[in-house]
Amino acid sequence: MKDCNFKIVGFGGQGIILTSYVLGTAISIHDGNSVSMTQSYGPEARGGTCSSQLVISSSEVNYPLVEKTDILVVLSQEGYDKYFQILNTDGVLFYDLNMVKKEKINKKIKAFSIPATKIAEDLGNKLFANMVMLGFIAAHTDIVKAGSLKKAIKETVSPKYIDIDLKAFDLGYHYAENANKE
Amino acid sequence: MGIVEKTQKKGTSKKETREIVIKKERCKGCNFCVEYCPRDVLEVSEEFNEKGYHPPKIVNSDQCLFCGLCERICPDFAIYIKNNETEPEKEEKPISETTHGLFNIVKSKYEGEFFMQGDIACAEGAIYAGCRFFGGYPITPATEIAERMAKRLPFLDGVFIQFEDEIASMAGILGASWAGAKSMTATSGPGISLMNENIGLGMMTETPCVVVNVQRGSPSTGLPTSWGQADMMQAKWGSHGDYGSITLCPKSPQEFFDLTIVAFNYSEKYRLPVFILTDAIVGHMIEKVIIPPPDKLEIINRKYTKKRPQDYLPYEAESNLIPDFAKAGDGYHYYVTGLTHDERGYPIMTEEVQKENVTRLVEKINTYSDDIIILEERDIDKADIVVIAYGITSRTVIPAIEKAKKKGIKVGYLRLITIWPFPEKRINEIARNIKGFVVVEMNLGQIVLEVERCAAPYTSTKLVPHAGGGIHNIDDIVKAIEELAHEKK
Amino acid sequence: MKKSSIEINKHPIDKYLRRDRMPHIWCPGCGLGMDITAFIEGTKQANIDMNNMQIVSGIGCTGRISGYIKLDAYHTTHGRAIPFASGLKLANRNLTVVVFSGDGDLFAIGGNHLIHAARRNVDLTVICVNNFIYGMTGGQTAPTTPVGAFSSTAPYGNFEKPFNLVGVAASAGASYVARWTSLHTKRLANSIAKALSNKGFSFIEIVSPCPTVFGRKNNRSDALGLINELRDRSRIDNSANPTEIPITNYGEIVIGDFLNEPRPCFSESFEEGIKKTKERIEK
Repeated sequence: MKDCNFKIVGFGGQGIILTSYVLGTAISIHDGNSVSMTQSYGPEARGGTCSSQLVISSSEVNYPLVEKTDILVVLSQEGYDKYFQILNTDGVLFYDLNMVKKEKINKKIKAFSIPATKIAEDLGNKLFANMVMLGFIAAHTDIVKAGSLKKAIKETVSPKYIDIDLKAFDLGYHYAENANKE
Repeated sequence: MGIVEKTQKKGTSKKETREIVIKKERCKGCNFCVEYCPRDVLEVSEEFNEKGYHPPKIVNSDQCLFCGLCERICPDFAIYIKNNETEPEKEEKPISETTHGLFNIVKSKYEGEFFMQGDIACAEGAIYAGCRFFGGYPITPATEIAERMAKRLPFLDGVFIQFEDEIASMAGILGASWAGAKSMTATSGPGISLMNENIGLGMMTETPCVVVNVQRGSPSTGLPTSWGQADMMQAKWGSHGDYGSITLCPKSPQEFFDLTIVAFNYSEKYRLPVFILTDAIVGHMIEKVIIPPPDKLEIINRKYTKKRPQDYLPYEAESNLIPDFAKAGDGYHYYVTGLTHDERGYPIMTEEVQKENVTRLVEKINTYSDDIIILEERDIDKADIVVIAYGITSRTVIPAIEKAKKKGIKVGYLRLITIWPFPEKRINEIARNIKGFVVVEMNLGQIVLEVERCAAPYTSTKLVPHAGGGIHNIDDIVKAIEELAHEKK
Repeated sequence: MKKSSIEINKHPIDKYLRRDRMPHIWCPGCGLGMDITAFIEGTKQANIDMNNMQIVSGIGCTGRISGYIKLDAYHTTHGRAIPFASGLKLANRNLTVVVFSGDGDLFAIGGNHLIHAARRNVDLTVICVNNFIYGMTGGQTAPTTPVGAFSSTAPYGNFEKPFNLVGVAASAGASYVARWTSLHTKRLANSIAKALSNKGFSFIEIVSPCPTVFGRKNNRSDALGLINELRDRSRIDNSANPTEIPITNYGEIVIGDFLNEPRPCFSESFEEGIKKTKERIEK
């Protein structure tokens, strides 16, 4: 695994912080790499732009903030508009097809999309979109092992949601990404 | 002085004698006793006492009913009814191993590796160290510490209380400490400003406790959700007067956990409120935190006196400069005051006692500074330039040092984990062998003043300031290193 | 009496006093000494283990009480006696914690702490010695100075409405409330015993004479005259509503044992809440 910066953006209530917490747990506790997670959110509990970032490294993490990111995950249009510019030109973009309209972007950037919110709604609640996205990310990057993520989900989420979250994760993991790669 | 009445108690063969006793030297001449005696037994005398008052005298002794009203209303404890059958004074209780059941340490079940927020790691560190009383008031970015304590303490037989403000919080943890509990509060700049009054009380009364300051942008309300490191001098000089203080500065959640335990140990060992100064980044940052098994780390508890109450003086410090504690409720009847006091704890308003009292507060920290100071050093022996930083800033300087090294500059790194007492000796030593210090801090120049003071005769010092709310630009740090390296000495 | 017999004769209260600090610093005719006597009598009545008794005071003339009573005693900062005492009590519930402080300390700078401790019903006995003025600093207006009374910071007479202390305490949630004057020593002692026995926030106001500072600024500098005035102006009415009996400059002072309504104290409510949670978790 190469050292990298990771940022996830959405609005309050989408489970942005939980998603990066699960990811951070998987990488630092189960994969044994170093992670430093920071977060920022607006004053409103719901609806404001919410973002979280991880600095991931196989050695010690020093500089803890993310000024330019290698991986950007966006779950809201506002988040996309605000943060797309910090994505490195050879970076990777993950976005929710239902929530974000992407403009034409630099061809060096790898973009992956998934209708995470739709998949989650079909599963019963759009709140599971973050887990769908997490599975999707696991399938398309090498920053984390899928098994570690599943362990982290089991440890982190409320017991009554473990099964459905894992199901959402699997749907994301196995979602055949097509046609959206540009 | 006095009249004597002999009576016989019913059903006993014991004779009881009662008399009025006037302690003339205590009288201040208010005449309440004379005026309120229902039988006009007393009268104002012509006599003067030492202070020039006329104490009462007994004139109609046969009228006295020994009702005791004179005794009750005398404001100066100068008159009383003596009953020769008075109960014998109980012998003073010997030292007992009173256990304060409430605070039997319940071992934490939190053990192992966690992906944990800094503030929560701090709370877990406190619990690990045996903290069982938390008093606080909500404030960003320290609230998570209080929330964690509110969740955890009740199940460890501890107490969490959200006080009405930070003034009360600080007073409350001092009280709890005197009751025998290890206690803590956590706040940010505006709260520390309010707490400083009772931090002074804690210093003067030598009360162990831990005060956590998760620094944010300042002054005043400043940047509540963003970061700064501008309370460094306040930690040293915040409350009025001279006192030795200890401040620790963690750079990560793991260190926030570790140093909270160290802070408790120092506070118990050296008897004072110990500060942990971190910032909103470390407070809110989530990283891996390893919590060792309960007995793995050293935990220091305060030393209780072995003397008997009659031999014990609460502020008598042996050559080690640190007085032993007595347990509240064990019959030592100590007196604790924020006034200048002697070894009995009594207020004495003289130059000599002031000198002795305050000097000891400063000296007890100076004497042990070598044990208290913790530093991290890298590549200092070969260095031309040494970068000094602390807290979160000590992490942002690392990429800058790497960059400067690539440009051929020999750079060393000195991280201050203990800020106060200031590592004067070590900095002075290093200063003799290098070209200069670069001090990187998230304020407009605080710790740099201390570094200058220690380095001045030997080498120059350069500050890379930042007003807070953001983080240093790496290139600014590199530029400062380069400038100093190429400066003509 | 010969000098030697003075030393042999020990005042019965002496065993509760720091004898080496006598005589005390209070002025002639000050009520504080009488208040201590009543306090000691009250503690005896309530049968309190004196070793467990903790005296906490703030700053001011009354603040010095902690330094004269020979028990574990804490002389804290101005206004902060109550939160300090709360910490002491909550951290070790075996202790009996008494706050002995003045009207300025408890109701001006410390007012916020007082109402919150009363609201929480922390198991403390708070004895407020009210002399209507800041004595130690030389006679400035207090939150109790009656309208029309003079102080060094109210040279033309006080215009501000003062607090009715028992009313504030009762409204804030104190579970025991009484008011006496220093002269009502016996009744005051009884009240102190009741307050100590109440498991919760107990509040006692002692209207206490200050001839030297309050008196001198208000044409009542004669100690005896002032205590006689307190006697003449006071009327006992145990059924009075504490919120309706403010004290004025010359009017009647209603005294009595106004309120005794025990309710669970802070620690009991805290424990009860945690117990319920534990039960729920175990289910």
